[in-house]
Amino acid sequence: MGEDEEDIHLLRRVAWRDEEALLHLYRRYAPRVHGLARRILQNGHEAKDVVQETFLRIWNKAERFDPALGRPATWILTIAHRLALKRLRASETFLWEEDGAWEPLGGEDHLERLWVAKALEALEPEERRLLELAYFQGYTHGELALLLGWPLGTVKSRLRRALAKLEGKLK
Amino acid sequence: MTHPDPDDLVRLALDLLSEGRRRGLMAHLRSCPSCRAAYQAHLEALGALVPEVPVPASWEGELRERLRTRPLWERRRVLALGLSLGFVGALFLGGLGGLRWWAGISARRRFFDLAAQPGARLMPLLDPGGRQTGWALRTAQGEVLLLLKSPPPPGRVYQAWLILDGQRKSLGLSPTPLLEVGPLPEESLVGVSVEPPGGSPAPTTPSMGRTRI
Repeated sequence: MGEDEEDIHLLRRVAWRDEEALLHLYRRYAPRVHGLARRILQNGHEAKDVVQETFLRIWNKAERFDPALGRPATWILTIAHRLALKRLRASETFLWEEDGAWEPLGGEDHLERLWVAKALEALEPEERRLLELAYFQGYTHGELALLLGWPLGTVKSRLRRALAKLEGKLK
Repeated sequence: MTHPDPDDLVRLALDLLSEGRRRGLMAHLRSCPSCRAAYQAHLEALGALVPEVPVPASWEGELRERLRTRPLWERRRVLALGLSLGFVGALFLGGLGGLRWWAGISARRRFFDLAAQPGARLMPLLDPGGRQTGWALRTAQGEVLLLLKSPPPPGRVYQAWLILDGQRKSLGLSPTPLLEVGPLPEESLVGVSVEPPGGSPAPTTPSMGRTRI
């Protein structure tokens, strides 16, 4: 059984209140959910809450997972992304973050950033910044246009191009 | 078929759309393989940006604790209790017959308004004897609603169930003939039973109706 099929089977078991199935998914995906939440919130306590809420959401909504719309892994990350952005928007730290304001070398946050930087290295610096701001900080196209002083059309086309490059790299 | 703006698929993957627009696009994706493939590719690409950060071992125990503190159907029971109390209070004020009639009319109106929208799909709800007891509706946005022909008996509620692998999971309660059960995967098998106001962890009466939608 492939990983996706196994995950779908686990989600089905979760829908029937099988705790072990949920914990299996937790062990498999909590590190990624945690990484995403930390990257968005820059706050360990809040990130922990997002991890817990994500798996409680899965516990309560597993029957809503539709395999026709994506893989379990992306569904789980979508839930975590939404919960983390909601918290970010509700907090006062939803502010423009300047380059270079990151944590010192060797810290956990630094390692996370290295990972992201590696994944983003196929992109131009401006595309990289756009994706970071849109995905990890939840800026809308309009906000990005204002923030970066680019026309809206430029923001859209560069975001599309950046995603296309990443997708090409994954193939 | 009219396809959405490709930038909207990017926004969808970045979760930057309003809830209404998001649901509209998800409905389109269910019927459009090319847009669905583009959206999934966006999600995969964004997922590749996510680093793994180990979680402390103690978190798993905390999650396990939280799972056990409040089962879902009990929380629904609290909601149902609130609904029931409100319903009983309203009955006291408005009179049993009048309010039940009004609730039934409102439920039917809402259901058939949604059924009239483009892309909506209706299926009959059938009891074990094959008689039609109501309708199931899948909206273009993938929401599923169930409408029974008659309201539940006095002092009882309808409870909707998802039937999968021979087991039943509660999808919610209603003191009216209308059950809004939310989005479900295509071809889900759903059913309805009559239950006490707090609902039940498993059906306690024969099926009022079921269908695959």
